[in-house]
Amino acid sequence: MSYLQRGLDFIAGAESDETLADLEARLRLVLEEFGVTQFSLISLAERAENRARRPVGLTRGTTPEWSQHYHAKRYFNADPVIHTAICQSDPFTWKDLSPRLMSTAAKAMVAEGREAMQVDGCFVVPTHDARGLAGLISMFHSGREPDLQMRKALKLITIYAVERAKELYGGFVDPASWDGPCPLTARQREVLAFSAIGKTDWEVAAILGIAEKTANHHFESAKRELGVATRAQAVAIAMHRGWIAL
Amino acid sequence: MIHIVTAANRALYADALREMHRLRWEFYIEQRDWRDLRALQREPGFEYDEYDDERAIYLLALAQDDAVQGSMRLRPTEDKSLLFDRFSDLVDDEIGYRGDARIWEITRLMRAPAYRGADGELRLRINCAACELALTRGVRKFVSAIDTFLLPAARALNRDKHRVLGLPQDYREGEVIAVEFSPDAEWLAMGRKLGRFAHPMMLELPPPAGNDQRSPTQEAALARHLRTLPQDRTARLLEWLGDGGVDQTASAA
Repeated sequence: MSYLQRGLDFIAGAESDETLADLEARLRLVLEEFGVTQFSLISLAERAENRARRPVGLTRGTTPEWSQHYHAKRYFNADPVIHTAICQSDPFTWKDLSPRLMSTAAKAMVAEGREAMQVDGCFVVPTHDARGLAGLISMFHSGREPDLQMRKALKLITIYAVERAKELYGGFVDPASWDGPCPLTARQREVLAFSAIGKTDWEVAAILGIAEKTANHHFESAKRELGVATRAQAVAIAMHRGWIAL
Repeated sequence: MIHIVTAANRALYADALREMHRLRWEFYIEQRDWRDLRALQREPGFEYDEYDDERAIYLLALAQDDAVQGSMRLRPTEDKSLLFDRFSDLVDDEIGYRGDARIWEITRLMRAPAYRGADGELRLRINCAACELALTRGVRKFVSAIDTFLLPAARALNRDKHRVLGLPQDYREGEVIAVEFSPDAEWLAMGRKLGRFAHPMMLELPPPAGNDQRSPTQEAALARHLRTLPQDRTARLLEWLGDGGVDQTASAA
């Protein structure tokens, strides 16, 4: 069966799935055909009341041990896959992640993930829409990385899986670690939102009518509040939890 | 209303079409930097290609002051089409698609900068008008090469009335995928419900000699349109329509 046909069969089936568990089972089957042994889907569903986005995860695509470890260590704060997916719409692999830009926690997460899941690599397909990152699937594999045509088929599958997951979100329980009130002030969220679309301190200051030094102060206090080292991490977390939107 | 501009009534829309080609230049040549397309241009500032011919049908979303809010180009595919001529590798061999008089191609779907919000209301209005036109012209399918990042929006608007015709492929301007749409009554009802549209969207002004050929639906659409126009433009439109005028009380659905 061609890659396209596998993708089309998945799409047709996913549209008729009525629960996230059904979708997850279907996704597992089709990804296995592409050599993917484990996967993780994150779809950013919108809250009806304010359109803020929150993540919906299909984390049972990985081993329960790794899933629990990931949440216990609060790796979503450091996850370089999520940070990269926010910034780029093209698929990427673990190998594409620049070690220079990864925090110590991010490096530890990748090393531990590789060991715990007994995989050789990870192929990630982010999907973006008009508001930024819409979702992603991390596909863990042993052996060779997917070739170009496989990547295209996996992208097609990801787009429909992410969108369908959003619709089926109703009965899903979020990981508790993603809940809780936003610790950032309105101003901190504002500067992070501008940073997410590439504005410099000077530009943010000009837009908000404040001093550049004050803008920088808001960035630094946001980083402290979230316990992260870089501005990109702060942006990633704020978007990931639906505290800011593009 | 979404105006249907054909070879027969193009003279009435000369200014709006000119503005549409200018907006297309801004969008495709300047913003998206489609270099191959730029190389084909003869008049800087206005984008045209070989599919802007007599068979092209434009769907124009016009504001009350005639400003172009957005547009779409439709064209039958049996003689030529962008998808089958230039992007044929987007269509999988197993699907084996060919041009057909009842398969029309959607190209140059574009919104003016002020109407590029995320809610998609204008796009939905244009889509509904395209579907209405398809139903009146016996069109079975629309095909289009779209940016892959638009696929979630296409899915949301078209649900089971669309299918992909091949895997996404990379081009210099980005990643593109071929999609087929099935315009039918069910699709139209879905689109109208989504947009909460109470009336048909399309308005096709007949050529001056065509007054006696207007259907009750066309008459009602004209009457609704006339009620929204300022006086000077009402006079211009009535002049175009000729002696027959319009039954301004017409209200067919």
